[in-house]
Amino acid sequence: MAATEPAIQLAGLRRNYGERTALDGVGLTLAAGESLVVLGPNGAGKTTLLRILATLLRPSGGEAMVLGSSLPGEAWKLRGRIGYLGHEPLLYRDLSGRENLRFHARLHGISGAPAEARIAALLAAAGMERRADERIAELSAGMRQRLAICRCVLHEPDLLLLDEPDSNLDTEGRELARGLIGPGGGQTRVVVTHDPERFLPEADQVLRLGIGEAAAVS
Amino acid sequence: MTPSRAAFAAILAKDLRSELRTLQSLPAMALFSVTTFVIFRFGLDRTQLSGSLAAGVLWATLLFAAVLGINRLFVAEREEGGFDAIRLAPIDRSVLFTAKAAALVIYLLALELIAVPIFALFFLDSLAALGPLV
Repeated sequence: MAATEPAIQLAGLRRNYGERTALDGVGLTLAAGESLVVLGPNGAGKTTLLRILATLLRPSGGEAMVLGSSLPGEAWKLRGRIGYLGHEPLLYRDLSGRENLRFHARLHGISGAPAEARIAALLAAAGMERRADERIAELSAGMRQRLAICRCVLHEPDLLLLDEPDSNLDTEGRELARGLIGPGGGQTRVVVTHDPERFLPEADQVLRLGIGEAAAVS
Repeated sequence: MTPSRAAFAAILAKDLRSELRTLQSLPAMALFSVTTFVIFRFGLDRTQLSGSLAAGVLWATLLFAAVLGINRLFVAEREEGGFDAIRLAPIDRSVLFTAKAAALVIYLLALELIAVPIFALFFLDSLAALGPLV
């Protein structure tokens, strides 16, 4: 990606589920390192937008450029450059937190001592060192969310796509999460939230999605 | 891109570790096989099988038991978001299927260690009669 090229550029982005239109004509340009906050009621298409940007869903129409790659045609170029935190933690219930992080590290080509050092640092930053060797099934939803955040940033992605990152987190967890996925990290961030008071102060742009309304960027 | 061999090893090790820890697939496959042998024994009303009928009973049972294993291997990925995680990683997607196939082969080898002697007990004179069937 050229230095001046936007991190995300959308034009007329559309996604249908059968007859229903989930996203209709979303357009925006987000520079590298900027934060976009996405607001809207349930069913407005926020998660759909995030999954399209994460290359997990194909758009039905429009144009999308992410980190210099056109979607969906060049999605393969983006793998490994995106940190995605969805509604599901993407962690295996029968493995421990540390085993899960090792697995994801190996998928991203990180192994051996560098992987162990990175995992240890992330677990410490998330306040999860003491519970890291317990199975995911035995952890609370908030602890799973902390580990999911560790998984999301494990491979040091250029773009963070965060779907309600504070869900299930207590006050301490929110502060720790801020250190891992907050605006100080230098990555481009897209945050879907129902808590605008918390995330709007750090937003460079805000995208408001409505049901049956045109998307508005401010 | 992560080397395919490393990704293959990671997915296979994850599946085997998960199975060893929970024993969700192999006991179900073994129980299914034994139940099927019992049904064949009473359904065919024979205590001795040989030739193509014996081979058919054994291999059809193992095939259907394999379907149980396949189901568990892939349903777990879907329910726990593994497909999304793997699609987000810089790996060749075919690695997922080769790793799953390898895990299934290992499950089947373990199953045969249990099911084949039981089959011999139910339907054959001696273990030596297994030779032509496998």
